[in-house]
Amino acid sequence: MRARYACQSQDHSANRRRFLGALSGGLMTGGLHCLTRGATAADLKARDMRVVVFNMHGGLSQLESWDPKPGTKTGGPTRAIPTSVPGIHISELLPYTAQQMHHLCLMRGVNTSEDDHGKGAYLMLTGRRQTPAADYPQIGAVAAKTLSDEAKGLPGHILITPGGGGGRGNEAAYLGPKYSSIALGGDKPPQNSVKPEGISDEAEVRRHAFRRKVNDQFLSRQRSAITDAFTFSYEQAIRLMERRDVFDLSKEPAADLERYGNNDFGRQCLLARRMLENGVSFVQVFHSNYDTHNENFNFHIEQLGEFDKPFACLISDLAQRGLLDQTLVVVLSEFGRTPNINLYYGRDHWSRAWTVCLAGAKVVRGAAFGATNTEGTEVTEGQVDHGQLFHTYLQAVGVDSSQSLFVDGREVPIADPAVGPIWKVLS
Amino acid sequence: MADDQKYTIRENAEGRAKVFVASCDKCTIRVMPKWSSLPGPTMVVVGGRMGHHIKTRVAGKLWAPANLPAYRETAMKIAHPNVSRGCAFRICRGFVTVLITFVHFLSLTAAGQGEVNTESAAVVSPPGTETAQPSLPDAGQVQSESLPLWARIDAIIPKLIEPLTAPVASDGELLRRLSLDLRGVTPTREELDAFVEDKSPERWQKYVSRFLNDPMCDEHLVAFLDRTLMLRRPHAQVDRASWLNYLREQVASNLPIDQLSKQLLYSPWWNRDQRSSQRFYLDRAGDPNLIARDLSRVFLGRDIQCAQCHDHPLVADYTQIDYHGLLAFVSPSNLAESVFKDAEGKDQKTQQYIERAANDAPFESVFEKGVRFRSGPRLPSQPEQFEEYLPNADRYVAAAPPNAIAGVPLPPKQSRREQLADQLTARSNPSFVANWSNRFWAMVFGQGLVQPLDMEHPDNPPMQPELFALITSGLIEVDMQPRRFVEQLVLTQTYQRGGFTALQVATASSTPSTLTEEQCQAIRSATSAPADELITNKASMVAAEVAALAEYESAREAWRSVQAERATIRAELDAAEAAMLAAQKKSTEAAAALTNAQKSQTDTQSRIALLDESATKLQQAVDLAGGEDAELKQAIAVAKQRAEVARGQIPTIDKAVADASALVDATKTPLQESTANVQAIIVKLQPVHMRLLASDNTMLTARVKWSTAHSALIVTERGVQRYAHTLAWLAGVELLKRSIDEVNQSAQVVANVDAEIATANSQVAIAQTQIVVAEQAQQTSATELAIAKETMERHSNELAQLRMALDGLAVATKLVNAPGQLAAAQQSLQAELNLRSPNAGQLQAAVDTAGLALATAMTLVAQRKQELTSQQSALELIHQRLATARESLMAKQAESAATKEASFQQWGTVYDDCSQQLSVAALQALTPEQLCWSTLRVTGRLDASIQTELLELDKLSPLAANADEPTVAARRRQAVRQAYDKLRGNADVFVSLFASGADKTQDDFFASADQALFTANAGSIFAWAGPENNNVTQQAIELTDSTQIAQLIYWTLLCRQPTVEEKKLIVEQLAAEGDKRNSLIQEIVWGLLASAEFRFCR
Repeated sequence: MRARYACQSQDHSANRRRFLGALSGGLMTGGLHCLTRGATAADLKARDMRVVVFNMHGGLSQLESWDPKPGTKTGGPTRAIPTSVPGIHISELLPYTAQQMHHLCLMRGVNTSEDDHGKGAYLMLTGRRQTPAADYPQIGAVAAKTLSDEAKGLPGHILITPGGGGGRGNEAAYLGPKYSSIALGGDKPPQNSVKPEGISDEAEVRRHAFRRKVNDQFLSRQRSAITDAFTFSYEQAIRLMERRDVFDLSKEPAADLERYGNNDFGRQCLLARRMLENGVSFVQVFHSNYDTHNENFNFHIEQLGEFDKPFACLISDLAQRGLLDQTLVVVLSEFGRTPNINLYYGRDHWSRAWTVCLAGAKVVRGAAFGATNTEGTEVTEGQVDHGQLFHTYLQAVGVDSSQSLFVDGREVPIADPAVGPIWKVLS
Repeated sequence: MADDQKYTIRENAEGRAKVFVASCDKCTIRVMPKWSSLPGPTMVVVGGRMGHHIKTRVAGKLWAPANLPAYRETAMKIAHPNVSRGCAFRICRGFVTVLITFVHFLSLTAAGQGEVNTESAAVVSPPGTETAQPSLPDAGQVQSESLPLWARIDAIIPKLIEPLTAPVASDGELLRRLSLDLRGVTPTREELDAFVEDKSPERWQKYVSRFLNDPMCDEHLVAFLDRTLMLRRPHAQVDRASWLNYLREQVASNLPIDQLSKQLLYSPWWNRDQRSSQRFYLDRAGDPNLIARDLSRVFLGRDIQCAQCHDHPLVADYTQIDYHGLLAFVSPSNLAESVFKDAEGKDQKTQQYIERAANDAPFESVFEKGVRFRSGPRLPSQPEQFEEYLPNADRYVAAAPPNAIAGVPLPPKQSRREQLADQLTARSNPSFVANWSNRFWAMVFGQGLVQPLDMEHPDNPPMQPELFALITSGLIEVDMQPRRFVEQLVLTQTYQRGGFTALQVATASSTPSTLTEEQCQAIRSATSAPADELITNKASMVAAEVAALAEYESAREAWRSVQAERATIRAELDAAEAAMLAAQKKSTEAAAALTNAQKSQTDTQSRIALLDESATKLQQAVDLAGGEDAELKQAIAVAKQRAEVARGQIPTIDKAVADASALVDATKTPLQESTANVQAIIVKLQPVHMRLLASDNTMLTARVKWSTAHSALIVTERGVQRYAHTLAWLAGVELLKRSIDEVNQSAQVVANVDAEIATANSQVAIAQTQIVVAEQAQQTSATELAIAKETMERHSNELAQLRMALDGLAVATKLVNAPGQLAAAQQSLQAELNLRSPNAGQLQAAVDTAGLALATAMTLVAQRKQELTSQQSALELIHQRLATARESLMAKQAESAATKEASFQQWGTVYDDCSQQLSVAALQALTPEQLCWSTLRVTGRLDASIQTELLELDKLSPLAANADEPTVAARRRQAVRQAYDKLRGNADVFVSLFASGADKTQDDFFASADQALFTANAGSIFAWAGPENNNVTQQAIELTDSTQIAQLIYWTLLCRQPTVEEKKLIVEQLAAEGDKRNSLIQEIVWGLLASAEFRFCR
């Protein structure tokens, strides 16, 4: 399979945009020999796009991951290793991921100028700076609104957190709670998606049939938009229960579980794969915690050691099953970490020059876009911000980000109209 | 939502021009025209928050569809704030888009005059325009004071005609509504039974007052206040128990809502005693912008957040100065950490919402860079307050107030927060009073007279302006006490209206409307009044509005120029103050230097004196000792030398003193000058302030005048729309009727063809029988022919043999020559032959006859077969006709279903209109709390828990047998509070699923799959539906008669008796499996808990 590149023209070198490995990254060099079973792209509609976001909670160090600076004052002990794309080197803490580099696109020139956890998370997920004057929906809610097919009976916005927390809140803003996430605790299916204990299958059918009849009696006398919404919510719930196996990790082969690493994050990645294959349009997986003000290097060895293999497996599986063309993968944080190493061998919050990793959908493969200076303190090329990235996510899955959403007759620009997508990384 | 659906955009319309107009980082405005086939001079703008519409009228010819370029140009002008100041209107809300559509006003121009030329119309104030703004209460002005408020409310509501006015609701429905609205839970079955039994005329009054005095009413009001004030924000600074107990105390003591608001907005912040009452600020993290927004949203019913960065692009009445005026009240305040000693003497940290002396920052519109404004504290409806200027040394109180936490800053002398609390919550502040009356109205009636509750502005005036004015003054009449006000609202006849029954069933069911032509006509004429009024007054209303707007705009221009002047002088003042501070600093430094120098001078002089003295004393000692002591001489020399050195320093020190003194003198003048400069600027500012005040007043007056005129226009237009809705609905009903007729006709055709098929089938059957008969006949004929043929053959064989024998005999005769015997034989044979020969003819005839008969039979069979074929093809044709007829029937049915759906939608619009007109009860969803407490009550859990608490309390301190009523009531109140606190975890789960997120408006309904999953599968709800403590399920299990079970369950859960079908349904359900009765009953109770009827209240 040839990787697709949008940027082989002279214009880009003239624009000082750099695509390392653009000429040589096209060979399949996947080193994991991942299995290729399960659904294939043929089962899915061509425009059936989806998104998976890895939220590296706390702020992943770009210097220990996507943009290492070995041998410099700021580089610390982390070395760089070659990847499947000649010319692109990433941190030695990501050896499996390095083998999947030909699927990835590193955005090394991210500058978001926001060093606060809450505000950083807000702008990375909504594509806009937080202001008390307005609220914007997160990428998950927008994806659910624009990509999800209600007829499938699956929730369009899934959040996997270790404890199942989160959800509702305000992540859907004006799109309304309908597009708020359904939070899964670790690898468990959605809450309340199994009938109560002690109810037989027969009784389950019977009680819902009865409920419908009782409702019909009432609705024949009093029916309105709000009662319609109420009725619909039950039909949605029942469809979700019917499709509960989509969330059932035990249906995946044991060999896959072994391959992903039978640990929390591995199971969550496998569950993410299962849901994406079954047509869930948006999954966000939390990986915590990267807020390494102390012992940055030890923490990253540990955290990325957990992250690397399952993530690489997921990328490889998606690619081999033909799903990567329809799935945008984003690895983001609220910000990066300081090039400066503090007294406690830690790195602090740093949003002026860090990296976001993209893969799949219409994003070019095997590329590194933008660059930082030798010590990683400034962006020297290809500077982008949260707003441009947000446009790019949407464009990558075929949503015209210059368009507006119609929300109950209101027209709202889907992404910040002041900026646009980064066309250079879109094929 | 219904309105939005009407304004969908036509994709291919040539007029779908999109004009991107302006954007800041918070709002984007687009103007998108949609051409209607019905041109008219009025434009409707749809926008704002979900489901909310703001309509703006456009006058003039410019908006004719043919005039696209001009339209675009004007659209740009409208939406671009730079230009919009001079424009005739502004359009709705922020970061939203505007859809502009023309509405049908053909009726207005029915006389064939074409477009109404509004420019030339005379300025005449239309009737009814005075009612848009709530008039300020005036004791002498309140009409018919003798009548209670509720009676006046009933009297002021315009009556709609009978078919569109619902009758009084049923007893059960009434009590459920009353209980939910006053106590937040459904009534108990005992209460329902007693209510039905009670035939006294004062029954309603009795139950109203009983429910209002129930401790659950307190809990309900507390939940309402909590939700309204805090919008479910998390508890960060003030814990939940303290906050709820604080609210409980205020509710229990019937604190007027204005006093409560005042407490919330100001209480001493320098100690920790009243932290709960500061939660409004504390749990908004002291963020001034958030607080300014919520001050307006929560207390004034106006969400002006968009006006932070520019005048609201879409709501003409939400201006940036309003926002910054409010902000100025709270901008000197912020959260600050301080440390206090707890009971054990340990240091504890606390965040206090402290206040500092004010210093207003300038602001500018993001659309008008460089034009800076200032605002001191200013309420949106009132002119700016000008504070006395205090020198910076004099801005804080001298000593810490009593009980202040050690180390908190001193409070400022001029407290803006205190001013805010005084002014905002004043009963003379119309927006404040109107906001609360609207919120309580919405709590009881399910929707506000202004809806959404926080979007009151001239484009969204109250549904019934006269009524709104009345309840606003009414709230003051009842001393702004929530309980007393709510009591008046539920005592009205209006409150007790039910829903439509026959009429609605007629529209929703498959049978056509039972409306008679007279009724339709009555409905038409009853709703046409506003349209008539508009036809009569439109020109004058529009002209009045345009004139008022022009006046407002020019007043605004005047105000802006004074504002600009003030901003300049304020900037000068800032500079002068900075200069003065610098001079002060220099002066202080110089004085300090002088003091130092003088001290050094004094020190040196005293040192010289000391050295001199000691030298003198030592000399005396040497002299006494004979002048030979070398050590002493040495000491004298040292002292003298040191004195000499010190004397040598004196000129330098003197010079330093002189220099320092000169410097002090030098700083005096700049300080005096800069102080004088500040004073001069303050003096210069005074007249500007006075002019600003005057222009602010003028502007506000003009603003009220314009918004009154504009509101009146909108109110009238709404009436016209209602008329249009009614007409559309009636037409839809006609269409539905016709469509149902057509379906019936088609069905008849199908039935007819079916009948034909039956006939044809029987004919085919007959033909088939006939064929069988004919074939049998043919068979018989064939057999007969065969027999005849066989006979004939046998006969001819015999003849042939005879002839052969005869011939042989003849030969033999010739050969043998014995003729005698042979001749005899020959003769006998001949005779035999002769005898038989004629038979051959007969036999041949028989054969011929048989052959003929067979031929006939065969012909008949063929004929019959042909007949069958033709019958069959006829049948085939009929079948084809049947297929066509069935197809046509299905098409008609589909069409009818679509018509029915459309009719349902139209009916929904009319229903909404009627509920806004208060002629029918609106369907409202229970709040998450109501849903939780009601579920717990109908399943017996809530009352069981209250009983448990009562028992616990009685165990701790038994009540005397003769305890008086207040003591018993207090005991029950305590038990209810404890039960609610213990069960609150359940309510929290409901809130997490059924409520909007924190900080969002909390009165929007939504239904989501996780709510349904929770109701269906969370262990709790299904378990609650199970039998326990003699609850409804337990009681139902003990009944044997299924009908009685149905009655019991419906009455307890839904407060009504089941219909015949519903009884049948329950009987069927219980008959399903006899051996699992308990679980079947549990399923039934659950089914009703999960039903739409339980989720909503009418």
